Amino acid sequence: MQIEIKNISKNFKKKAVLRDITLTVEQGKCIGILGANGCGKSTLLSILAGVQPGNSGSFLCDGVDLLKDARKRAQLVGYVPQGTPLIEELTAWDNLLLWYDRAALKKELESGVLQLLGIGDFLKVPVSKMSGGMKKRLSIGCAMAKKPPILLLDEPTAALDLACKQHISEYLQHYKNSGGILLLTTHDVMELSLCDAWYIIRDGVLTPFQYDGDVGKLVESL
Amino acid sequence: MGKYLYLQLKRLLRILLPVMLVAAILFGCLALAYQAVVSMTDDTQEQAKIKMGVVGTAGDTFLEMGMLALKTMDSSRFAIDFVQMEEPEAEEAMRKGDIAAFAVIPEGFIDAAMYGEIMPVKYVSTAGAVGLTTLLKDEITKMVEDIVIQTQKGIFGTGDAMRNEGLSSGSAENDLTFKYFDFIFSRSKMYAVSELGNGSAMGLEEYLLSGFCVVLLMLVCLVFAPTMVRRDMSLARVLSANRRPVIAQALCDFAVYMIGLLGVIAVLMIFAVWTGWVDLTVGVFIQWIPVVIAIGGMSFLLYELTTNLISGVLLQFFISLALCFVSGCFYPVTFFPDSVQTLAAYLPTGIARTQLAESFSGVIHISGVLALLGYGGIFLGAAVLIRKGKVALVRG
Repeated sequence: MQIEIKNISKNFKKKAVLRDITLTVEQGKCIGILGANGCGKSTLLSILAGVQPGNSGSFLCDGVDLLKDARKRAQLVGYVPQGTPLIEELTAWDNLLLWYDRAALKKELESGVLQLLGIGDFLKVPVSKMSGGMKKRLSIGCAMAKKPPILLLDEPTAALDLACKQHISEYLQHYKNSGGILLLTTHDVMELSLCDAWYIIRDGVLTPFQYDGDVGKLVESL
Repeated sequence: MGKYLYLQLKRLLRILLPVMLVAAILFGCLALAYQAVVSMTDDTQEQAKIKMGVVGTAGDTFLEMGMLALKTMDSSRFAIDFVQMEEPEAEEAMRKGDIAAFAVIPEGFIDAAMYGEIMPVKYVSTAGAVGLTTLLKDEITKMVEDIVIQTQKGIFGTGDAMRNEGLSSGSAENDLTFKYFDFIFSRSKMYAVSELGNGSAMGLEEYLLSGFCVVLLMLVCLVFAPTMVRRDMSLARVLSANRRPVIAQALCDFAVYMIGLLGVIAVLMIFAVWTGWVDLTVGVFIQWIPVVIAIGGMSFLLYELTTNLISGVLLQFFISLALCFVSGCFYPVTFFPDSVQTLAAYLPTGIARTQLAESFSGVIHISGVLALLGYGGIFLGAAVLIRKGKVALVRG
């Protein structure tokens, strides 16, 4: 399986935010999308997730345009936005019930993705009392309900402590190793090392970047 | 969307207790304010009657009859309260401010009147005090003095004429006397007394209660602010990406909000009826449903317009305050200019207040219900459009 992002463009009024974004990702690969704040990284992911329409372009998976087939997109694409897609007043269990059947939820907590994310440790804690790391793990857990082969993550470890970053990076590595396609926007060095290829969005244009661990060079390129 | 609705209801249950507590406190404060306004209105009406002492009438049948006629039949009884008293007692009462003035009817007043003479009535008032109120009181007491003299003269003149004509006893004397009274007192027909502006037979208390109910509902909406203002649209975005459209989300949220508002109102109403504070029926509660849909819908839209709690609360508070004021929830709407009254009749708060007021009398106006439901629909539609825009607005 591979995905092909072809000629995606987006204008806000007359300003072009994304210009003909084109990218191909193979199964089991992780792509890091970099860029300065406000360059269009989150906009690109939200278009791919179907939250907002692009002005043009397609998002192909095995020949199916996921931008046009919402049912298929919901099956194949998991989306974790930058904020907290959770109901604050409810517990982790309640939030998971929005996405999982009761039986599947118990199974996943015992020996599935939720067990890998360590969600069982704070199952009865209301979201409002969770740490940032717990919230992010729970958000990923919710996004994984349909076991999507494509995962879109918008700065997944931003503002988290090192232990949380490590935990989430380990899970994403596991996801990638099991054949998933990861597309993530990031500013984080730990996440950069997770990626197999890096791209920078500047002036709405996506250009490949060879990251070799030199942060100084990366900053100059943004 | 069933799961989403279920979880939103569960969320409502989680927040209901603190919401209920705050709503109960607000209800208590508002009820006290309402009670104070109602009793103040009663006191004002009572105080509006000017008390006037009348000295020298005790023991004289004719004078007492005249006073009785003034007290019970004359239209002046709504404005002036005549109190029969002795002169020292009247002086003391005036010093204390219990009476505005007193009139001393001199000895031999009746005999003089019977011979067609007028003995001047001594009139004592607080002339030293200067001010509009004093002037007004003086004017009124002078007028009363005239009424007393003329009425007494009429009664005695009638009796005299009857005796001269040999009609000194029996029903004819009474008939003539009452005809005379009717003639004298018919001046009340020269003006019309109108109640505070409402078309029905509603009293001021019911009017104020309906205004109180609308203000209470607005405040209960305000209590929901922490859970209604959405700072983060991430959940809506993820749901939208998973084929759970924004309109379905908004409908679920709106339904749960309505259930919450009606639940809080129902508990407060049950409490109010249980304590005997007001007497409300199930029919009145049913009338709340379109009112809650319109007013709750408006607050739903206002919360959708804001992205942080402070601006949400401020926006809701000031718009509620302005609408309640213009709609006559604090003061009877008839106090306002015609243009404002017309505006109030079309505002959701104005229609809501009228509907609630009429529901107390068991009246249901379908046009009012439809107008409220229409407003609810418009507010919900606008809220959905705004939310759609917010969900799709991902930049960065």
